[in-house]
Amino acid sequence: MKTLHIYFFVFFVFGLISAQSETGDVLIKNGTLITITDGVKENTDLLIKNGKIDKIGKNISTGDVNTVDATGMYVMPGIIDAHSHIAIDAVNEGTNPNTAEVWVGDALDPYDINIYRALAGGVTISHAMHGSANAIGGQCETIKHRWGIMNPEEMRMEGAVRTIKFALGENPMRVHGEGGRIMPATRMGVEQVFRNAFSEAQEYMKAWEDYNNGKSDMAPEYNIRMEAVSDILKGDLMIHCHSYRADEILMLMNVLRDFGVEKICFQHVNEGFKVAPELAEFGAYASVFSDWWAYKFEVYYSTAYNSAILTKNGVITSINSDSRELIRHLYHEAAKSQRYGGLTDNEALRLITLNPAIQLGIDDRVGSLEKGKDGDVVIFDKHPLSVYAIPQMTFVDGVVRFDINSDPADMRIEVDPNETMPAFMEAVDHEHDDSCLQGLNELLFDK
Amino acid sequence: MNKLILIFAILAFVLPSGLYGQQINKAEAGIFLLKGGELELMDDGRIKADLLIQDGLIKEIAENIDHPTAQRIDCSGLIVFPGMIDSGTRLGLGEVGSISLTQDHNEIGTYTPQMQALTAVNPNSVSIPVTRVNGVTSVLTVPSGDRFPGTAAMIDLLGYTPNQMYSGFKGLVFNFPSAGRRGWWDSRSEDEIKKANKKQWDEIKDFWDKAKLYNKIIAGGKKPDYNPQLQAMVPVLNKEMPLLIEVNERKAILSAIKWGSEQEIDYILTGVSEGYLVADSLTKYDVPVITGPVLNNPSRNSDHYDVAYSNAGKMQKAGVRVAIRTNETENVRNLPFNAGFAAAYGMEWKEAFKAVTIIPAQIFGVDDKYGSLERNKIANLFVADGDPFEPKTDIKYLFIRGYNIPLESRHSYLYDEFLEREPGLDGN
Amino acid sequence: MHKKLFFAIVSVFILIKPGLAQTDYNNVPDVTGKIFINDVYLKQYNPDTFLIHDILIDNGIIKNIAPAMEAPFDARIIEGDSIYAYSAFIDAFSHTGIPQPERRQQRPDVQFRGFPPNDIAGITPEKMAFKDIKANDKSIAALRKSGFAVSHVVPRGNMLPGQGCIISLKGDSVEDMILDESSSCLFQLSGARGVYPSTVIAVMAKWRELNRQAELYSANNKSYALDPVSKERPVMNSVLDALVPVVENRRRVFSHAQSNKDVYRSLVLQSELGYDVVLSNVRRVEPAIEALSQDKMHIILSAELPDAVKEDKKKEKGNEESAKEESDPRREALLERKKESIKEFESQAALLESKDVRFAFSMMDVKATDLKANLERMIAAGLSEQAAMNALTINAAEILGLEKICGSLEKGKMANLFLSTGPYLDKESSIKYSIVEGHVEEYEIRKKKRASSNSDNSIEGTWSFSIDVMGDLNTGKIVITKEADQYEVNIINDATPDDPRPCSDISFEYGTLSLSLIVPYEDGDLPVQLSLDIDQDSFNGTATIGQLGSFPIEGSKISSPEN
Repeated sequence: MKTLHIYFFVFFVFGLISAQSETGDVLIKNGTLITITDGVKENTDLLIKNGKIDKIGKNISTGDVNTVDATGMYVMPGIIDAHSHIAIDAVNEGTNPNTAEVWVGDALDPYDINIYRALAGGVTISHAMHGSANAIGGQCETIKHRWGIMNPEEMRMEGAVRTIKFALGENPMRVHGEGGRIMPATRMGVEQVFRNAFSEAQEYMKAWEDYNNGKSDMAPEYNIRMEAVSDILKGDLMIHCHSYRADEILMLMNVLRDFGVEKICFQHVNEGFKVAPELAEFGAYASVFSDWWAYKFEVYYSTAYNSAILTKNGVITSINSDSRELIRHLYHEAAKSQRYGGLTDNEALRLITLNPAIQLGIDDRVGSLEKGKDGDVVIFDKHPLSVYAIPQMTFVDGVVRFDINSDPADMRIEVDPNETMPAFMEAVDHEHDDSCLQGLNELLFDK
Repeated sequence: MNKLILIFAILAFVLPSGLYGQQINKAEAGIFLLKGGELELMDDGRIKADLLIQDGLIKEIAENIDHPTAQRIDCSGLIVFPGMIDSGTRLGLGEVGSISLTQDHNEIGTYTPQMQALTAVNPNSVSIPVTRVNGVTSVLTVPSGDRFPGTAAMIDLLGYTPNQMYSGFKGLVFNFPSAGRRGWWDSRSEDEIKKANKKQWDEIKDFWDKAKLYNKIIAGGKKPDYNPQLQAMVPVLNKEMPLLIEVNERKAILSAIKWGSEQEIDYILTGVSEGYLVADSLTKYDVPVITGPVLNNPSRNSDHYDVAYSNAGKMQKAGVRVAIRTNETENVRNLPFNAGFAAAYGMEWKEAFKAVTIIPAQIFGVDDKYGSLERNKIANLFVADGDPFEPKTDIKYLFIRGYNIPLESRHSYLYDEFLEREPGLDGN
Repeated sequence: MHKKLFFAIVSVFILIKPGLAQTDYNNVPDVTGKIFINDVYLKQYNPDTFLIHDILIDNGIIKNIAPAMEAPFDARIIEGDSIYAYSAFIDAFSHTGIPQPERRQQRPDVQFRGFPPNDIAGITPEKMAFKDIKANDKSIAALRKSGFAVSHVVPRGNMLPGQGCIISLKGDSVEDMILDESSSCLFQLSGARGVYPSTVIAVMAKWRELNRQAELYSANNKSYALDPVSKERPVMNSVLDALVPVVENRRRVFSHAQSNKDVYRSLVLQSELGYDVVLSNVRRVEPAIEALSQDKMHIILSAELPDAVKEDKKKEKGNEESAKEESDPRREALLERKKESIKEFESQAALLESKDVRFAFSMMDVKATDLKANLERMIAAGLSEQAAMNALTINAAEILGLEKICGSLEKGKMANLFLSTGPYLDKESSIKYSIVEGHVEEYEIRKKKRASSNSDNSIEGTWSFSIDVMGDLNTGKIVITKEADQYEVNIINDATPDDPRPCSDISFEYGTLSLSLIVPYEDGDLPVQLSLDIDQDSFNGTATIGQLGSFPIEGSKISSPEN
């Protein structure tokens, strides 16, 4: 067992600082391919070369390539979780209602065991997000689950759209209104945080423009927060906004209209179904829970039929986890949309593949089985929407990152030399209460 | 003019149902004949038979039943299942998680065994219909908190008063001192935790000894001073009520088994997430186990990713009586999916289904009335078009205490109202 | 009676301010600045051998090192027979001399957590470390005793605690000690408590902002200085003033980077911001080793290692708890991984050597007395002796820019050396003399305890003590108990049997028990530090009483605790 482990460890360790990520070749034979965009193909092969999907067809013959027999199994694109907080060392810089300048990509943790556990659930990409303590939180990072690499830089998904976390509703109100006794304490205040930030950024951009055009000769102050907010107004930084109540969702869309921002993805958006037509009209995306509700008052009037209603009203919808537990069975969470709303197989699976890819701006690279896309693929032993489905192998860029037949118990990359048995963590009742507000114990509670 | 009156008259009938949307359907009493379906009998397999519900009970199970006045329900192509039992929840004891004044399961005080979960159950909790439409018909609802937080009660998910809902089982909860971290923010050293543990044990021993003395005094005929805490312990000490010991970590489980067996009481272990490591001790002492949620992360970073999924199955295969719980408040409806994952990761399907039906009924000593489709048991059952563990399956009919329950809840009402919203987009 | 006399004597000496050299008749000053060390062993490498040389020191400088010199008549002679001389060590990065702050600072009361004053935010690059140093701090003498002569001291704090300084470990006042008052800018990836920036991501964003702001500040100031007419006057900013030398590459940034991830993050910042960084107090270099072996990288490795696995502990405990622990089927594999991990940490230095990276050592996290044991472990894991010694001497000098004046035993360099009773890395040898800039300190050589027989448990119990304070004999009892892993010590003076004094800062390592306590006297309190070397049932040691001085103390065990 030990040698197996060392072999696995050595196999994946590359100590270079450069962000050259590993790619692989593999031929997956004779599986049922769920392509998402081109139907379900039975008894079909999939060839990945240099990390990209090269061929899809029957009886592909090729030279000396690693071959995996997928007879009787299902092959689908790697699952994408559009809302996650794993693999980062800092989630919430909860000291100010606007901290647009901080970037969770600065604090990636490639040794987080939850990455491996997500791979064991078929998730190949996650959107590592800042938490929801602030109305304007921080910049996020789309990461690929390249388990085994040591350099945090190699986790980045090169070329992914830059995103930033906004938050509406009870969380920023609790942290700043109740905790810090500063605005926002109400939803009225939350709106003003955005209007202030955007207006100040417009002035900031003008001041620098004047300086660069020679209209003034002393450089204005450099403000890294305003730089970030300016990027939002320029369209270089896409907003993903934690939101629940219908009225606050409408509020933000109106604010964005006033400032010329066109793209937004709402997160959680538990009451999104109440304003589905408005979301569709704006072109806003929605990334929702499968069935979480009633943990806060703002989600008391929500429904597990949310994803179905949004989908049927033309809103591009995904199902996310926001949890290091749910991320491990997103395929099951997507299946719930069949019980709550009767979505078809393809509609349900789109919620965790192509749709989150669109929301993260990476749909040219991942989200479906098409030639030219990244070799991010999962093999299931049964149809992924069955509760009995178990992921067998997960590939990222054509490299095996999870293989159920080569899966020793202790998969940790880094081991604390001061601890023999890792600490036993008691079960947490309602993990989701904590997940988006991680890291705030000092600010919220007088410890 | 007459045409106008006619139009108005028609509208008067049509409009109200259009404007005021949903009809709230009520639970329906009566005699029901489920014809032509298959019945899930677990150890006795699946048989094609009819089932008659009358007087709140399963009156008859036979090949071809006929009844003059029964309402016939066509179950051809469908399967009838016994209602599922979630053996560990806080259902009815909490409404909105972040609002503490809606949370009734955690009272102040370390030793509060006298707190009765049953009286605090909110029979009108919005979560109850949400739960039962997935086929869960009874739950054990459990107080939480410190050492002895209170007395849990089993309830059926139908009724307008707690007493109407009560199913006839109560258990006293004991949160066994643990050697684990309380959360990812708990940064105490191993020694600090050990020290705190030892102190807790000394206090527990003190309390337990006092309870035993109190019981002895009562047994001897004398009446001690009013002491609700110790009074609540009496049924446990007299083996009239079992102790539900919540314990999860391996060493602590072994200590709990040892302690429980020494005390001459009836006890049930709950939680038991590292139970698969000590299954032989569990079988040796024939300790019944309630474990879950199955959909949970491993408790140690070094554990295999699926230990929580496979725990129940491993224990059951070793001969332990295992029931599965969600330990949830508002999402108890996920019980069938928890059982489904246990079945996926090594537990036989039949055993997983038993773990949410007959086994908890047996553990709670109510299996004469609950847990399976048998004559004269209470009619808690549902009818589905497939495996209830599969999300794709639809539940068609639901019966609790013989009432036909509408398959509606807040979630379905919102779906009905908003799937095609009227008015739609501005200006439409 | 004894107590009154004791306190009377003490109070007399407390009233007089120490340090007035003219009337200080407690100590006798050095007669001469000339020292001649006769016939010492000097270690040579390639080939490995010892040469016998004489060393002549005058006024803190090494005047000559050669065999068979003639001793000047006016020099103090130190017999070097079977004594080994080594260049004194240089600690490249620590908080030596800066006392620990009071426990658990209160959460700052700030109205806007997002805009705190700079000092609460931890942004004080203008602060200078030497201002916080206390010349009589215990750590300075402790380092000297372990062979050190120079230390690069950085301030305590959060993100930008301030500028480091280099000190010589000798002197009665801080001014005497300073070799370089502003040698570095310390940067740490640690945030402030409860205010911005509190997380590592905020620290990194703030650092980028400060850098850019400092560049603009410098440009604006220069532009205004050239021609102030019609321009808005730039406002002074002491934080940016202190960072201008950093962005202009005139003051090195020492980036405190303990873990792998900190190392990577520091490298990312370095490549973005474009100036040289010294990675300091690094514990693991392994994954990033390729980047670290680039040309201009400077690394200061932490001298601290994780505790080795104690094998015998398992056999001692016969109770049920440990039996249950051991029968956990997962334990064996996890223990293996733990051991592997410890080995990895031990081999980091050897890895750097194999990649030809010249690194130094930081004493920030390690007790001076533990250094040798840690070096032994690193050498067992593959580090060569020469590389270990170089890291402690010449490499550190180079990184700190001191290679001209220290870091090796050469004519013309500062007289920084220590004399050991055997080759430094021998288990049995100990340091007899420390010489810092020609100032000699002699240490008593204690017989090495039989380490294995003196397991931790045996010091519990009641001990008697006796101490002679300038002719006044004090006796009493020392009661030692142990709860979990914490020792509790109470000292009862026979003169005041009803007033047991509790002790604090208790530590017991390598057979030496050290602790502090407070003894009350008329006008206030007297701090006392005890350092007791315990050997089976008896001990001897030193008691340092306030400003009074050090006195020998000895005692023996009266009884063991009941179990």
